[in-house]
Amino acid sequence: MTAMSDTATTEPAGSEPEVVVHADGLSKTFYDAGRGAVEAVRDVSFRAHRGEVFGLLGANGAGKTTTMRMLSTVLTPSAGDARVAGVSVREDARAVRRSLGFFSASTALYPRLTARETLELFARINGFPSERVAARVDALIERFEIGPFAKARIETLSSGMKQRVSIARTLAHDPPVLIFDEPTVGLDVLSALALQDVVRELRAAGKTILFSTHILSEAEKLCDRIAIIHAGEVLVDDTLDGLRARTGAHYLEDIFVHYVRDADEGARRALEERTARELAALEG
Amino acid sequence: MFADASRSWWRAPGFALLIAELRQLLRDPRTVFAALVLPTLVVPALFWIQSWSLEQAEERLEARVARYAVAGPETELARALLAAGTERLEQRASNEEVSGVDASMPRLEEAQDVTALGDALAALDDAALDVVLNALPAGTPGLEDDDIDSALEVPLLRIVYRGDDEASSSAASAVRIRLEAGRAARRVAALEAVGLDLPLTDIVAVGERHDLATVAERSGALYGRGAVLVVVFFLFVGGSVVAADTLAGEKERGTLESLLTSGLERRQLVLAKVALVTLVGLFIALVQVLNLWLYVGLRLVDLGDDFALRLTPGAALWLLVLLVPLAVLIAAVLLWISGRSTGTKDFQLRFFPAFLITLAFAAAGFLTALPLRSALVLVPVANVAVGVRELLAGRIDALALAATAVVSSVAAAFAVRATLRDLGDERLVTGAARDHADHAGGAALFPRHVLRWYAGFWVVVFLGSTMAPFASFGGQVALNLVLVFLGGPLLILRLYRLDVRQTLFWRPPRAAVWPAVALGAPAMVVAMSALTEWLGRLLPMPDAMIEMFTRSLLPDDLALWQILLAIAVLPAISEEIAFRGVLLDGLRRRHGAFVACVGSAVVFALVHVSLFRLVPTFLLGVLFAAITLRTRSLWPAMAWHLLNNGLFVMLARSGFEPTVSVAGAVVAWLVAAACVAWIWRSTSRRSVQDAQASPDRISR
Amino acid sequence: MKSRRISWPEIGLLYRSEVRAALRERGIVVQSLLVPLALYPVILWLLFTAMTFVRGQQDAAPSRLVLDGLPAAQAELRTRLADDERFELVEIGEVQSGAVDGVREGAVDLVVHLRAAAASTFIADNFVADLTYDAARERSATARQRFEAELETYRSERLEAAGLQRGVGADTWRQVRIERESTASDVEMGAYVLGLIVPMLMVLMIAMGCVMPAIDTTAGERERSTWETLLTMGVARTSIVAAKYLYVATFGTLAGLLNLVALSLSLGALLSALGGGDALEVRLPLAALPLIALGSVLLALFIAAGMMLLAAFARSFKEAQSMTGPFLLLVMLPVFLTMAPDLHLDARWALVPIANVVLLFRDAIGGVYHPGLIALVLGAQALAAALVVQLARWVFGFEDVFTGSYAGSLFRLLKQRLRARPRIGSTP
Repeated sequence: MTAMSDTATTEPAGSEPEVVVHADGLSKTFYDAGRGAVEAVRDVSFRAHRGEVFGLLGANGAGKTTTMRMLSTVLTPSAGDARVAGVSVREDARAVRRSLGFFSASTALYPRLTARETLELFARINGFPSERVAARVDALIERFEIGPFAKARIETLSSGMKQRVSIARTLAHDPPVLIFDEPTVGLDVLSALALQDVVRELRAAGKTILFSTHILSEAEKLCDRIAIIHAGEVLVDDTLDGLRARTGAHYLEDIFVHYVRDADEGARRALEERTARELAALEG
Repeated sequence: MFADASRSWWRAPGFALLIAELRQLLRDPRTVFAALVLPTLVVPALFWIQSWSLEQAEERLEARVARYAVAGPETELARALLAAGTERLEQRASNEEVSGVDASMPRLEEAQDVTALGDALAALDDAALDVVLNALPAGTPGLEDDDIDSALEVPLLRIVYRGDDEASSSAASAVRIRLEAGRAARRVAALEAVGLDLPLTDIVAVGERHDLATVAERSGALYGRGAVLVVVFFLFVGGSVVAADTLAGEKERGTLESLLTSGLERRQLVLAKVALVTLVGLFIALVQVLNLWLYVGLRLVDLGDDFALRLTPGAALWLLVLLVPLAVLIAAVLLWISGRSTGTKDFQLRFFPAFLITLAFAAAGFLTALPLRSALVLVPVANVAVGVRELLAGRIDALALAATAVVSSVAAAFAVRATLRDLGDERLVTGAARDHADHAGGAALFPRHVLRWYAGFWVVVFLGSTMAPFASFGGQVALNLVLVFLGGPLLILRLYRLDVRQTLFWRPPRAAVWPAVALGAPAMVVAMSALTEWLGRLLPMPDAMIEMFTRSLLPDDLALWQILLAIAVLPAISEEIAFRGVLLDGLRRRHGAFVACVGSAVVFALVHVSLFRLVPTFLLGVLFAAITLRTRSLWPAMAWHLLNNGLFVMLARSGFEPTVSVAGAVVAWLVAAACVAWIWRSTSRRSVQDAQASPDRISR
Repeated sequence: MKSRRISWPEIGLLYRSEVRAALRERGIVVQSLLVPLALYPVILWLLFTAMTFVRGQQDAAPSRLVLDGLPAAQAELRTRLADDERFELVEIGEVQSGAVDGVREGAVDLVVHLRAAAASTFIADNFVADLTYDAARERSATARQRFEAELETYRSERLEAAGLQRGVGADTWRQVRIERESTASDVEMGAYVLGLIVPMLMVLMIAMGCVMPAIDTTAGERERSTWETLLTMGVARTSIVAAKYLYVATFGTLAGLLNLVALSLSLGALLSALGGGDALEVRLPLAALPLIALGSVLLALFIAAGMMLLAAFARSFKEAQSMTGPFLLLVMLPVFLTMAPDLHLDARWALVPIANVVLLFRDAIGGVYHPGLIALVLGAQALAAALVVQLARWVFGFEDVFTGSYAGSLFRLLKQRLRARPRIGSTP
């Protein structure tokens, strides 16, 4: 029993790793005052396995957060479904949420609770067995070195301290799946590195981690599999080596540009063709 | 309360959240100060200021010597009467040992230097004098016309004062009281001269007064009227402090996301927050009420000697049973507003209207003639207001109170459920979700916006009815009927590029409809007048107001055709286009026929801006809407409306006030119902055909 | 301290942009412009409708009374009551549970038991009436009052008749007629009513009109993170603060004047809807308008300075609200002092800030002008505003107030600053 995993996990040796998160044709359409109907995410499918860091790589506005929010059941998909730990996000949203921890840079902590109270609260509301809450919280406090300020109110903490409490909060109920939605936005180098260590540790403990980012180096270092998402669509989904083999490029930056530029080119051509057809129709 | 039956409830996740929320609240000194400490201090300060300014006013009155002048041929009589009155009042005051300020204050002093009436009136205008007593000889006609000749045989004492000056008004009252006392004294003297053998208090007088109510019941009945108003005020103000912070505030701070991605069920989340707002609201209301009670108990606020509120344990229990659902209801509403707001600032904008409306309902305690055993018991908030008043007055009607409690609980449960359903939506995170209609614009957007437009119309009509330049008959006609109800819908038709024929149901109905309209309209006029009479018993209207209302609708200085044009023809066109055309169509497209009928009728009733016309206009609104939808034509409703108003004008003009017997009313209702049924039958096949012809207009 | 110099073009530019932004902000438009215009007409309408409703109920409900033991010679009393539609005579037999219990249950309003009193040669069958009622029931209490008044009229008429028989002349009995006549015109009455209601509401509205702009332009900017953008602009800090201050005061003044206009237009129609009241005509007091406007501006300058002073410390909108709330109450307290209608401006009141302006407005609407007192009021109010502005200048002089130190607390600033620490550079 460690802070990373409260339950002992034994990997079934030799067999194909279990699929823990399975997105199947996820789509989400928003209606925006300025732009009208916007398909933020279109037909996104991927599988993430146990003990794997699955990276979702894309520029700002590519649809990463929307995908993550659908996986965490905050948003309901317009079409498609996803199964997290074997449960459909459409059918039992609550069971899905209980089996995942969601971390994002924009999620804040309650300023007037102490760190310990925060951890206890989130363990409890996620249905963690209450007789084990205290031990779990102690373990987290130890792992993230929260001890010295565990009894201080969050509002008095520095941003680095808050960061640690925030990660611990995500792990409070020891979920098998973790979603990190752009976790390093606004973090200094050392904090970002610390976060990456946490992710690796979690992977070692057999968790399934979905990691969305627009920082290429981060994805390169951390992710076992990478899906490149652009304009709401997954362009490719493979291991880093697989991607290299497909494109012949070595650096992720080049791989990324390769796919994104292709996609843009395709989109531009499709638009031109449609315009031409419409013009022809008008004239004819 | 919570879903996990397997665990003890205090271990339920929702409960953990509630505790955490309470803990955070108590750790926020600013909120605690604003919600709890500040009101506790302000209330006594207000009371102190009030009693201080009352004292000051009394002192000013006691210190004041009002100056008056006596003028006219009967000066001596006036002076003598004043002197006699003053003497009698002083005598009475010393007999009964009346202390403090009495009605005959301020003291009076005659200005000896002014004797000419003209000088005196000039001095009155300059505020050098407070009152001029103009003593006129017998035979002078009084200001009121109905003076009969025999009454003219005595002199007339005219008290001239300035109504726009408080000092002058109070001096005039003092003069009057003295003159009347003087006159009464002289009458007794005259009777005594011819042998009156008993003091007046022993002749045909009130003997003993047995008040069956105890002091506690009396004060309960008096202060109970406003009790729920005060409680609702604090429930709202106290509850809003947390409600603003809890969803709207969390959105702002970004903590909501962590809750929404947790394993907590939405239901538990909302219930925990409702519980939080309820608890805080109840606590703050309790503290404030106790605070008030304390000041009264310690005599810091003097409500007079006969103040004593007493609560029996039974009544206290009832109080709890009534107030807890009320608190839950208000909490649910507050939470719903909070969930719908984008932040605390937005919350405040939305909070205010709900606050005012609820307070208006809570003021029902002042309707002292309305018993709890009536339709009132079905009106949330208002029923509790009356129920609590009855409780405090010591009248425990268990059945009515239980019904009130049930209705309140059902209302509260409904509000919580609605809040749950509404906040279960993903809008909680993404802000207002928009859908396709918002961008398609034009006709698709119209059903969504139609109520907003009519809310705007209501504001214009309402302000117009209260503001001087428009409040005249002509102004009202021009503003309401022409500008708003005709111009408004036309503007909507144009802005949203609507199909005029379709939206206004502009096509002929079947011919068979017309005889039913021709017969139904007069029957309905009779039926409505019976209804109005019956309603008048339920919601009586002061005679003066009825008279004013009739005068405003039927000004004497207009010819019949002008009135018919303004009251019958114009409304039949413009109001039908506005309410049975544009509004009905808009509502129907979005909500279906039933809601459209009732909704358009409610709006129709509300724009008539009068409490007393609410029910009849609503019923007519439902009728017209139903006929329009059924016949798929606006024309029958227009004709009916025209006949209805025209007959009303003709009846009122002829001065004929129909009193409808019960049998007559029943017959009228039956005839009207039969006509409606006839319209229903005669159009049934046609509607089906229409539905097949244009499926999208029915199915939506 | 060169940067302390005031640059009016700069202030004007900033001021215009503040006002433009405010007019696009729904919250400010609603609270500072729409509420003053529409709120009081709506509330007054509700109030008056409810009042007529309650009165209608009381008037229309007849008083049900049981008249017991009426002597033969006084049968006329019964006839009178039976003819009066305000009364409904109930026979004892009709009340099943007995007359007194009937009162208790509310089935009857009043039980009148007449018993024989000392004989008088004046009145045959003299009696006194014992009344049983339930004062906790409005209807019963009304019944008692109505009956007592009716009994007194009855006695008076009987005595008059007896007097006439014994030779007291009708003129001796009547003696005089008494009537009241007010020389105030309808317009003057309208001004009087307006003067009682409007000044207090105007102060409230001016204060309310200042709240949203004051918060939005300080704490709101900080919340939206535009505060820093503003501070890094190439303008003097004094200009920024001055522009914001003028903008807040403008909206306060506007709210007050809009409220005056709305009430002047609607009050007359609303009051006449009450019916039966004295005839009055409410008009916008045009002659008093310049003075009222001047008073409003001074008041707004005072309140705006206070609000901004408090709101500037807040880190968030909500915090600012809880700080300005008490100030709002503080502003309203002097207003409550002036509620008595007989209160007029005098030298003493002229020195009480806020209250003096209320009384000034009241007199001005009533058409009363005392130049000396007016000058005194305006001077006192201007002085009060200047004092708060000076305080604000002192506080804003600290750089760390600008950057949002002190955790939103004025007290923390005072505590730290008053410990005689050297003042840190005031302006950039």
